[in-house]
Amino acid sequence: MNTPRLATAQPAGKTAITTKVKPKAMLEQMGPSVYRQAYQKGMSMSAYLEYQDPSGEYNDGLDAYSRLLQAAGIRTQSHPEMGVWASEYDAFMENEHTRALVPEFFARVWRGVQTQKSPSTRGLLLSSDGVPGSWERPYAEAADARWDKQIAPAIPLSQMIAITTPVDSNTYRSFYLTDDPTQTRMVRVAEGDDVPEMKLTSAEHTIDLYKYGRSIRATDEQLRRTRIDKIAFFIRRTAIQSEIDKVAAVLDILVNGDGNSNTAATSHNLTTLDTSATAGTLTVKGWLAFKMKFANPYQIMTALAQETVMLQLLTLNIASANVPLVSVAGPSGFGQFTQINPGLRENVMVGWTSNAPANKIVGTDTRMAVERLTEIGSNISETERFVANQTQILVMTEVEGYDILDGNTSHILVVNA
Amino acid sequence: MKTIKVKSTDETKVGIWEVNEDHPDGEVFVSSDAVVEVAKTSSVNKALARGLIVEVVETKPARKKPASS
Repeated sequence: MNTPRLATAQPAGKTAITTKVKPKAMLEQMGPSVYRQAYQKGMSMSAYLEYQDPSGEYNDGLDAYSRLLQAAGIRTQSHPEMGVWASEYDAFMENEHTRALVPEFFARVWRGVQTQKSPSTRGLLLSSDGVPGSWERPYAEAADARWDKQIAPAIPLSQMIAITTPVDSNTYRSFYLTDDPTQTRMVRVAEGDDVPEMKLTSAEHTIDLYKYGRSIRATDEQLRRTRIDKIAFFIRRTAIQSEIDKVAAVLDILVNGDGNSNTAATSHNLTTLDTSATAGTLTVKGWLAFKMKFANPYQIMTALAQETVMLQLLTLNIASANVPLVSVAGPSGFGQFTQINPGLRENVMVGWTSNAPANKIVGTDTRMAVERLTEIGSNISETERFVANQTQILVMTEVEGYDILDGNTSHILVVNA
Repeated sequence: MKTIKVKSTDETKVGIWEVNEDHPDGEVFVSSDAVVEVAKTSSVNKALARGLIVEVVETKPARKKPASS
């Protein structure tokens, strides 16, 4: 692995002496310029530090950023069972280098909520390392740092997203495949004939990216006396609200489309799908018929609705007549259908949110529905201190937008019609 | 805010869904062939301009002419 070196000294006629960047030395270099370098490389600070000081050369279970915290003597988690407590926030304020660790700490806690994964970058550069148990690495080490007490949004944004695309502007023109069965099907091609082509078309409207953000304001006294793990709790709580807002934005796109033609959801009235149903009362037949509206290659993966409709769905009355045969498999084998279409199986991820349309179920094939656009380097975490009223503000902002990848992936079941 | 009656131009697709307190019930969902009363919010105006929904103008029945003697 090509490891960056801090300094190289090569006296005339002597062998080159290289000094590896060590956490202490890296900590002494920490400051706004390092953030600038990370931004120029299009990386988070943690990822940039990992490239500077790969964890493959350590067996401490930490990533490069965590080693800087360790070098600074800053502990971010409490372990009451061991009598070990997180440092107070004041530890970050010791000098200019430790202060420079704050924005990335904020961003790591934020990313932990967004992705529900440890923000540790330890696994980033380990793929080319020796195999555990080999002479190169006779031990197996934890790929991720310890990560506990997960706080996650009720409906994670990642559950709704098919693909994330980084862009370097605040507008984006999406592309989609023209949906023509004669073009998309694998048809027999006569010898010498042209192979049918699928066309990648530019959307007529560009997608705007918007800024999402939250800030936390606290007095110097509050911060100074508060342990870092408690600050992290408040950051996580704030990040959750940001995720809720983004899911609401995605729901809007799923129903209304992204402004381009044929990107809005297809709607189905319950009483059309099940002619014996009463508007407002969901039926098994109506729900199954709705699922069947997701024709190949689509299948409903996620269903979102408000509380009352979701309760109806979760407590559907199967009654005693016309019971779906798959659910009455008896000793004789009668009713033991095995559904071929995976979409018919009840593996739908259901979620209730007040941001869903009233009396509707929004069904989506989330594998191919929404593209999340994120502006490179737009994830900004900043801290500012106000001398006049002795308060500090922690700010986290990110620039994102969403577009529809495939206009056939969202269907609405109108329960009240 | 002034309200108008609209319906979706494509009976299978959602014309507009918006939660806004200016709408008669605070929320409108225009789809299928249903005629829905909506407030003229900016989103409604945008959907009208994009041709996703169309205003439905009710025609008043013609007055009967008085019988000529």
